[in-house]
Amino acid sequence: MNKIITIIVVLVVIIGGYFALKGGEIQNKEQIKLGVILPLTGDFAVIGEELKRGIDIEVGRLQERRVDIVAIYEDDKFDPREAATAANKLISVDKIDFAMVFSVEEARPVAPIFNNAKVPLVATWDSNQFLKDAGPYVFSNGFSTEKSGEIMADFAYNKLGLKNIAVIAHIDAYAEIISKSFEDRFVDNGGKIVYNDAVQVGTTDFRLHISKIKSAKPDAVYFPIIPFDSVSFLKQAKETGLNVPLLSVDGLIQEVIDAAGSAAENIYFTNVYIESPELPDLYKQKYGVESYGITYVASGYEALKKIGEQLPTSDLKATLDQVFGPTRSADRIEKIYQVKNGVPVEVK
Amino acid sequence: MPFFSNGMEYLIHIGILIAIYAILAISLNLIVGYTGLISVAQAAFYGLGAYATAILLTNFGLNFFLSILVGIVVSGVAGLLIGMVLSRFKGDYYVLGSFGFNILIYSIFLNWQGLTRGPLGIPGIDRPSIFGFTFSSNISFLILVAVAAFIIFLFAQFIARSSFGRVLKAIREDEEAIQIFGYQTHRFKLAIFVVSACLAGVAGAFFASYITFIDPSTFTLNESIFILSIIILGGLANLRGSVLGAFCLIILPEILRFVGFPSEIAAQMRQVVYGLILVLLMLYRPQGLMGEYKL
Repeated sequence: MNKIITIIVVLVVIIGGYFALKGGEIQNKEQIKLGVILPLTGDFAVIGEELKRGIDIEVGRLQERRVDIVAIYEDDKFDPREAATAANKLISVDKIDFAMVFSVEEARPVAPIFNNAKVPLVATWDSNQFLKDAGPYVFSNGFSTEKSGEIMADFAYNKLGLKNIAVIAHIDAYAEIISKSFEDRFVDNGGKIVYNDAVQVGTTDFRLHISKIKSAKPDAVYFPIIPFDSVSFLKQAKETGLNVPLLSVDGLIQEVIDAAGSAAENIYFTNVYIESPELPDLYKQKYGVESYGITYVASGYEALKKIGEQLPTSDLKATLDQVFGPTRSADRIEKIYQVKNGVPVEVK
Repeated sequence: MPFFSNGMEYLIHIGILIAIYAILAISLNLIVGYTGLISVAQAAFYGLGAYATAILLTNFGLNFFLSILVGIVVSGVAGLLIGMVLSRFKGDYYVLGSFGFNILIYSIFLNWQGLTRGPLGIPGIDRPSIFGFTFSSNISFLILVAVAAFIIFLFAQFIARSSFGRVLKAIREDEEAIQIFGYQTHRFKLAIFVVSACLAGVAGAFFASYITFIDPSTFTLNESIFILSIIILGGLANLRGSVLGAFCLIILPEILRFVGFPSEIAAQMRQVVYGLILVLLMLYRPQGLMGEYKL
């Protein structure tokens, strides 16, 4: 039996090595290869799938414009080890020209790989402090996490006249960055953080935290809590009589608003938005249904659209430097919305 | 030769992962396969080694090889403390206890933000260097980690073939019987638990330095279960099986990347096929590929 196993292992090595080493054959030297690393399975698959669709829509449009581009997708399961493996495969076997990932969080374990290989990498959804140290080949077309916290702090202090705020955030990289930005700006403006707490992702019972928040007597509560824990927080806040304005972040997606019902009414939150009004129709034409996460679709579509306007190009890195500027980031700024009758309405 | 330069970096990357997981599998097999104690805390010691190395390299500029020694001590001390508690349990309670410790250590990684930076993780971890030479290329790193894995394999083999190893196997077969002969079995169990924790710490140090970024999400219970799967697939109480198991579980999903599934369902189909292959392997080879002992 051990001999059989040994033979099988040797065959696997030979066959696997053949495919891995064969994969780099370039059939068309003019073809632009885009590698995309996304969570296509696991907890974040719904986001990854929508983003993929957005990229596919734009790839189709570029091909119609006779730009010879192809997208190669690899699943990273939102795991650093898988992301590193996917990156190595795309660079070494597929010989991609540039790559895209969903978030800066996904970019972190693979940034050194792309920098060493001198292959540009573009994060599509968000942008934060990490980009400064990520290396010259890492870019972002996303919305600035820090600025989202700052604009909400300015709005809360200057427009709503709030002076004392309680903050409850997830223990999560995104929530850490946005809540710190919010707190720093709010205090700089003259406000006070009267309560500050962090909860594990997956928390479903916030009653003790809400009780402590109420004891601190804040004017409002800022809660960077990602879906769908935010539904539990909102419902429990309403049940326990937390009657102060609630401020949140772009995790307040329509599904959360629908699930929270009246508990989500009147919440102010910063949110991403789409800059391509044609996208919902394009999505419906291609897939036959309306997207349930059009902002995720847009993040892939708009990032590639921005780059695609410059294609083909002889120097992709120089092109991206020009497109994204010295900060290597679009640093888009989210807008502020309020939930009115179950629908987010932009606050002008 | 252009043919062999295509994809070589990718294969080297796979080789490095196989070596790291082989070390983890060997470390866990000493407890599970040889001693019969099912532990799902291995990712905790893996993480302790990784964080110790990362913190010492980034905050104090310590050399990697000194950091790895500190990582071994940190993992070993944690193994001693946790092992002293776990040694009071048996059977399912031992598993649950180890489960709890993995969650406890993960919570420390996530919440002790002053030390670990919490969910933001630790970026910019340097590659090993010694006498002016830096293992910055992946091929040099592969050689380094492969040598380390080989040394650990020989060390574990020495333990397994020694009289100490024979006592471990006897504990696995019938702990009460060997206690009658006067062996203080809890000391043997504790000793091998500490050794296992130290070896897992070595793997963590290499992982941190190779990926150059770590965060708590790598060291969860899922990772412990993955390591346990490696040794069950490779074969319990067989160190070559540990290496083979690591090879199979790392290589298999990579081979599936090259199967021509339609892009709309490729990722999902790979998961399905991967799971199916594992189920079939367990159906027709429940003792693992090279196992000497079934759970």
